[in-house]
Amino acid sequence: MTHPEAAARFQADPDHAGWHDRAVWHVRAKRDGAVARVDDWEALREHAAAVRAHTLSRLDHYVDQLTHHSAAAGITVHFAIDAAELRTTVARILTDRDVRSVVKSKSMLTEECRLNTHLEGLGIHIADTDLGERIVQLRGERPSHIVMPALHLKREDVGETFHTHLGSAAGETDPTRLTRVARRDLRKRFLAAEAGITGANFAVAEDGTFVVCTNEGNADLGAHLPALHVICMGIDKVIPRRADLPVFLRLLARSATGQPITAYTSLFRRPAPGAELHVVIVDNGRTSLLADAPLRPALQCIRCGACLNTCPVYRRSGGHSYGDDALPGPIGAVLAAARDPVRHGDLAHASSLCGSCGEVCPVKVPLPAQLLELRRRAAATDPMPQRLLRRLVGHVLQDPARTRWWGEQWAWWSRWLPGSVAGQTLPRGKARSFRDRIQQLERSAAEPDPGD
Amino acid sequence: MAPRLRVGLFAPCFVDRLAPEAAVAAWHVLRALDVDVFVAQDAPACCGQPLSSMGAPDRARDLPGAFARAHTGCDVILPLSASCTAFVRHHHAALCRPIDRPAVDRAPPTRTFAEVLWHDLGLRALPGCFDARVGLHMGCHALRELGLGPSSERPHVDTPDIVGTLLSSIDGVTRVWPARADECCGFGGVFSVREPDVAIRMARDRRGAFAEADVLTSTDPSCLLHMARARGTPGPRILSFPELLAEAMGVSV
Repeated sequence: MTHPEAAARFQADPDHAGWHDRAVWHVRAKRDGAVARVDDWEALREHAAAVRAHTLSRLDHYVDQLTHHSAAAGITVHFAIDAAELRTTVARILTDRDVRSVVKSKSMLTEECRLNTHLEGLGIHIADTDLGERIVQLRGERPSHIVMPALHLKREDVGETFHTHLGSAAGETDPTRLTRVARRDLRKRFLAAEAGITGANFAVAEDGTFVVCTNEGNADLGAHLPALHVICMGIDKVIPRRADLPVFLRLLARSATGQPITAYTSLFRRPAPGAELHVVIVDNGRTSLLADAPLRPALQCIRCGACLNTCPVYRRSGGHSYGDDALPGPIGAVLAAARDPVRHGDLAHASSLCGSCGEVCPVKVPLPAQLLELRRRAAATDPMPQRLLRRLVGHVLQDPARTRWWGEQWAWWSRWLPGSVAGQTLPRGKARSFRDRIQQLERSAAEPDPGD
Repeated sequence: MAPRLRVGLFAPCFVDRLAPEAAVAAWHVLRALDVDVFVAQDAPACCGQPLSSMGAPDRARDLPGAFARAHTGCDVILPLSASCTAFVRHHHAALCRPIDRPAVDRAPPTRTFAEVLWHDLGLRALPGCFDARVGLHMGCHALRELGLGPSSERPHVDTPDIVGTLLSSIDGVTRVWPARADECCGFGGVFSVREPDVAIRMARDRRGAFAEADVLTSTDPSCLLHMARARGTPGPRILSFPELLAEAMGVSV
């Protein structure tokens, strides 16, 4: 299903679509409030963007530094070139140690690499422990938002899901009571887990620190209770210095949810005594993006989700409209279309190019310009009729006489066309264009009316 | 006495055929403000933005040079759509053929309607009287590419609200603020064709946000044309800024 089709389906329930728009806008408004209270916000953005751009320009150096320091601290570092290698690497770490039960905290990377289905196929039980992520896992859905995975669901939906899967009372919709039900179930899984998987928000090159930000503390339970902790991170998560970290922490939570900082910010530097800590650093297309000058800044992204919350199209089409292979929202569209401009060309068009995403981005990814660039790449392989149409449009608009002729045709024919086609109102052309009228106006201005 | 300002008034492709009255009003208003208005009959019909946003900037490469040459001798060029102004100002130099680059670089500066009034004519208040509650929809490119007013995303960037100030200065105008200061109307050119369901919903939401107003105006006739498509939405009367000003000044159009 293309994005317009999925969006049409989402809009087929206007009440739900309106609710979704308001719910997401509420998060954007909280972000605005938090940003307004930080006077040096623009300076922070500038600094963060510069640090990210610099890091990307010397990524090999910083990744070397990171692996050197973390290996010295007793962390086992693995590299995975793509999603398949991440899956087999993590599976090997787990099966080598006979792990049957895993708890995982939210990680968009493991979503991207489809880790869950792979591990389940090997008979390993995996429980997502972020509440929103747990809800979509139980429902067999994909996250609809990169920070709030169950943002598309109402409390009634959650009550129903928990009733089916966790045995909560039928018709229960109270958030506190529902959360307690989820917590009771998750607590059992935390205690039984033999390994914990987390993502990483940042990795500090100069001292080999892995930083995990959550609001529920689930990553910390999962990392500390079992004797095996596996961190999966994209190669783009590196920042050079510990001193850079506060800049990103200040930007991340404010941009994401309007909080000054996430409730839990955990720094992992070495395995606990008697425990193992593994890190899998994943490329999965990131170095190709690094080599792609106009799109490279997309790697600066810190996955705050602010571009989703502000995007008028995301809010009105929902996260699932971006398909199974893409992160939602403007950043998701850019990353997916960068990977495969033809297959995901529709996502490059899922934007009115209003520019708001670029303005809220805390690391100044030029998302609107990148969407435009990706439209260009997608167009190169469009079918012949569309290419001919564009050629005709270019040919007509270049020449005033041709434009007039086509405009007159439109003005005349559009009178006979129905008022709307496929729900689209047709614009009626005016019989006399501005350029037609102006000649007469200029003449009458030059020769004042004798009656004056 | 300073010589009269020579303004190259450019009616972008859709204004020329779909909303010519906005450009006619601008022509009358500028003349009433003692501006020497020039309309280039040989200018290309379009700035090239539609082709660029369709993903075919290559098909628009001849437009910047022709556009610049057609307006030689003007002090400023005024495309009657802030979005087109933004496209000319920020994209023409990169878009044009190398041979046209000198002409594009030498072209007169491109302005929006409000900028001509504010910067070139030095007006801080507009004449006339328009007794109504008026909502101002800022085009996204007016706001975010041209910095024509404060944006909700960047509260610390202090940008004077010249369009709003000019509008509010008209006798009788009471400004009406929408709940979301600068949400997009959903036009986006080719976007509204490719994504009709979302685009129309956005138009409906945006128009509805101005329900308290009698009149809705904008920096961009394209936004207004799009919001007018949201049929069945109770909403204010839609009027382009030049037409509103013409009505206020009692200029016969």
